[in-house]
Amino acid sequence: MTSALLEIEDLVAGYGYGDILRGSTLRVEPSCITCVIGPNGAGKSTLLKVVSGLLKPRRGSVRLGGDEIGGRSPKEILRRGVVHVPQDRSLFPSMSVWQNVLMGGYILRDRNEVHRRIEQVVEQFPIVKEMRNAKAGSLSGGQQRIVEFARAMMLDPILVLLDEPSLGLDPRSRKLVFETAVSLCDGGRSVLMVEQNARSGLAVSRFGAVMELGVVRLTGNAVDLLGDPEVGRLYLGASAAHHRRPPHIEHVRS
Amino acid sequence: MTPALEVESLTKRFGGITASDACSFSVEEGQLTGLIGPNGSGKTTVLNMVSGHVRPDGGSVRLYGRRISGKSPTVPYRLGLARTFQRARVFPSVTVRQNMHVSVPTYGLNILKWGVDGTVRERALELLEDFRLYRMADVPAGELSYGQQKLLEFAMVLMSRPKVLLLDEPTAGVNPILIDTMVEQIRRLHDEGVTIVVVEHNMEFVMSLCGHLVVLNHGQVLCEGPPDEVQTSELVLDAYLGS
Repeated sequence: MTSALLEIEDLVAGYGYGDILRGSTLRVEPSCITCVIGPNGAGKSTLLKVVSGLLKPRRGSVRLGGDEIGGRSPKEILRRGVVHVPQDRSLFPSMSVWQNVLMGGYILRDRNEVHRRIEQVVEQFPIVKEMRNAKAGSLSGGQQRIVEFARAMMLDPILVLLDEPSLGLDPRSRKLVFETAVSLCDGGRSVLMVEQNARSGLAVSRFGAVMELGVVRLTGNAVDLLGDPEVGRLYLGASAAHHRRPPHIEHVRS
Repeated sequence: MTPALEVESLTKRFGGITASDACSFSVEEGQLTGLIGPNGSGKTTVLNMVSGHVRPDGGSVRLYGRRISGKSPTVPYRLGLARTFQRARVFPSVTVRQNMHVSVPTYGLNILKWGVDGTVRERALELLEDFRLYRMADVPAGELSYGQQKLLEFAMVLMSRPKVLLLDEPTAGVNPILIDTMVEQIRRLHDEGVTIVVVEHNMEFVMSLCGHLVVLNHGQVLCEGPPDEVQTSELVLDAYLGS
């Protein structure tokens, strides 16, 4: 077995009094997309926050290429090549597209390096050049997502964390965003993605994981999860066209 | 018969951008209407003007024939028009249960003085159970995840028993299983005669649920009609669905 890019083990974390993550374990393999699905409040976004250092773990470990990064500062984790594209629109709306993308290289000291990087980013994301002077806030939701991806690429990361990239997007932009997510994996890079649009998310991923109540319940090839009738029944939902009530999932009341 | 909602030549400009450009459509009482269109086509702006959260630059909105445009949101709300937001607006520092209680219009903040009667308490718990929020009832709403806050807001709106309901992307960020629950709740409201306008990008949801669709593009009504007609319209395929 090859070694994983990211190994999360028995992770416990939360806000305030309660724990949201209650012993989550997950491996992320190199050069592919791993998609995390699960009910609202399962801890998917919290998991990404711990990996990128925005939230400190209370227990457990996060190893990147064998090195422990759990509890390190976001800046340090960023330096090691992990970038986080959060759930809500995160561009600075009154700054230009170009300035927003430059901000992705904020921690780079070397100005030449910044210019070299943005040239490469523009090659992959022509929209950055085409709309360079437009205010980011004036772009459509889908375009903003693509610019967020472009910004994330400024550090040439080895792992990109995407929190619900398709959120609030129209069908066309959604397709484009998923295609772009796939293209992020070029050159050995990995993507750890959280998606509520579970079927579409799994469809573009190699691996899938189902989270519930703060633990990873199931992992496997995305294709297998998509084809598993039990997973379909419990987590993917009937298509809205059949309007039967899904069988009740046993929830722990605590 | 007077339509439940009439939107006439509604216009709004933000700086140099015309978000809503003489937009007109009407919604019959009891109808379930889907408002669709590309990102940036003005759907939320129209909803904001209808609910009174944004003041239009021109045009009018009538609720059961009564002009409500340009008035503060409390006016349409008292007349029975309730809405949800794309990014849920809940009271973050009070508990999930209390959020449900304050949403009963006759109570409002008075629950702090009066307390809550048994039916309201039961109704709140029932809805929280439906949306799998029961175990979070005593947690401050601000601690819920993004998707859970959307579910809470939807449940809160159901507490108010509105006559006209506007939903802004109710399924965005919500787990597929709970979308099924939401569909069921919306169907129930529709059966009870509530007039509903829903902005959504989830086409499966829209097509199976709505009896009538209004498609916006660049702030104007591109076309409207029953779902199967709209779905195959060249204009819509080109502007929105993609071929």
